[in-house]
Amino acid sequence: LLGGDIEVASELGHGSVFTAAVPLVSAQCPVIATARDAHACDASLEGMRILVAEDQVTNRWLIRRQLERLGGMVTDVEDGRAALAAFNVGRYDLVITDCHMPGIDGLELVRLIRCAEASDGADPLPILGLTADVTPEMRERCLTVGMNNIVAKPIDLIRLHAAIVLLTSHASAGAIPDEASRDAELFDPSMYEQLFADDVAEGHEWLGAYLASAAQHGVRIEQAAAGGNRSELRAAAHTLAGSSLSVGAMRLGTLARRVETVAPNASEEEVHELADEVILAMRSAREAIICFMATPALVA
Amino acid sequence: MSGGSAPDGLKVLIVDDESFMRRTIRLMLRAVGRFRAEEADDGDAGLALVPIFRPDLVLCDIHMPRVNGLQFVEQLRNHRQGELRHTPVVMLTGSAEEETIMGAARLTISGYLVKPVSPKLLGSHINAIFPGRQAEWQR
Repeated sequence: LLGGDIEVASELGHGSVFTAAVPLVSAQCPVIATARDAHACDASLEGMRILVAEDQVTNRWLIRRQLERLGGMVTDVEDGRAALAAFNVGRYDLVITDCHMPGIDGLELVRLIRCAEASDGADPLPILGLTADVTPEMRERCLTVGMNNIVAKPIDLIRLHAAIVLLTSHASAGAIPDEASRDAELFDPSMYEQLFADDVAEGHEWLGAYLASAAQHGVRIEQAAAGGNRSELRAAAHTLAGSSLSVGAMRLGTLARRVETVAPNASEEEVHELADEVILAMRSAREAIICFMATPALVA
Repeated sequence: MSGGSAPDGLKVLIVDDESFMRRTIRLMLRAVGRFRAEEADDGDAGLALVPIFRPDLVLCDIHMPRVNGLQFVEQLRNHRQGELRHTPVVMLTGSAEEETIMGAARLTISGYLVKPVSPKLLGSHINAIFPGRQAEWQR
């Protein structure tokens, strides 16, 4: 659960040691990705044809590797000119482009792609921009030229994957929810900000403790739902709701609260569905919190 | 009011079965002022700590195993040491059901806060419970 492990070591007469390990990402990595992270996101990109434009060799290689691991079929190029050439001859389901590249940069590339689509009467491709400049002005510029969303650099695989899934699942509708409000629903950092004005290390430790605790209650919920133990289900959901709402994981907390409320009288089917929803929401909350820890200024 | 407060702030007993919540409440207290906090993981442990720690205030969860928050308050109000019976208690809970609130209202409590609670809200409740004693805990 949450890509982590819970271990128990017990020695008669000496007590027990419970260890909860949750993989967290480091803000220092240029691209953050682990095999565990790849498993953390279940939504497959199987068969998705993705054009990636990124001038930095290491980032390009890592993005390709991770997208392929998720089932994507990747064409990667080193600049906007090569991306435009690939776009003109190939068929793609998604374009991911760095914003800052020599020659034709990401913004110009997207503008040219949108012009070509308009003149051909083609459906607009979903396009994600990658940039370290996440100011509102830059975001506005990216969206104005025709990007559907931007993902902050340094790139976190989970965040990138989530953005792709969200974008492609909304592609037919042509609209995506505002990233800021969605992030706030998954993780609202206002409590964090009130508690840890300066001490980032302590704040991260607190968030890590929450993730470990939530993972344990997630296990309890899964087991109680599977075993039909309604009082245990209610107790675990109650505890998870309280800590989640307090830490700012609003969607998870609200769902857990719903499980707590309906647990005594819900049908088996309803209980299983809700428990599954809680686990999915927990995964999303974890991703949002990890992203926040990697790049707190983006969510704040 | 119960036993004397320490020079470094009011004494607060946090009673909650979830260690992460105890930690979070402790951090919230730190964010709003100067407090000395002790923790208990259920009502029973809380009742054992009260005569030793002699808190100025108890922040108490409701749903806990063994002795729950309402039972804690009931037993505290009948404590054999009379001076402890009037210790202010604020319920800090995730329970917003009418039945639970009515159960708490029948006891003598100083507040009922439903999680999530912001440090600011907690601070304003403490301020209301201890009028004129801001110097003891506010920075």
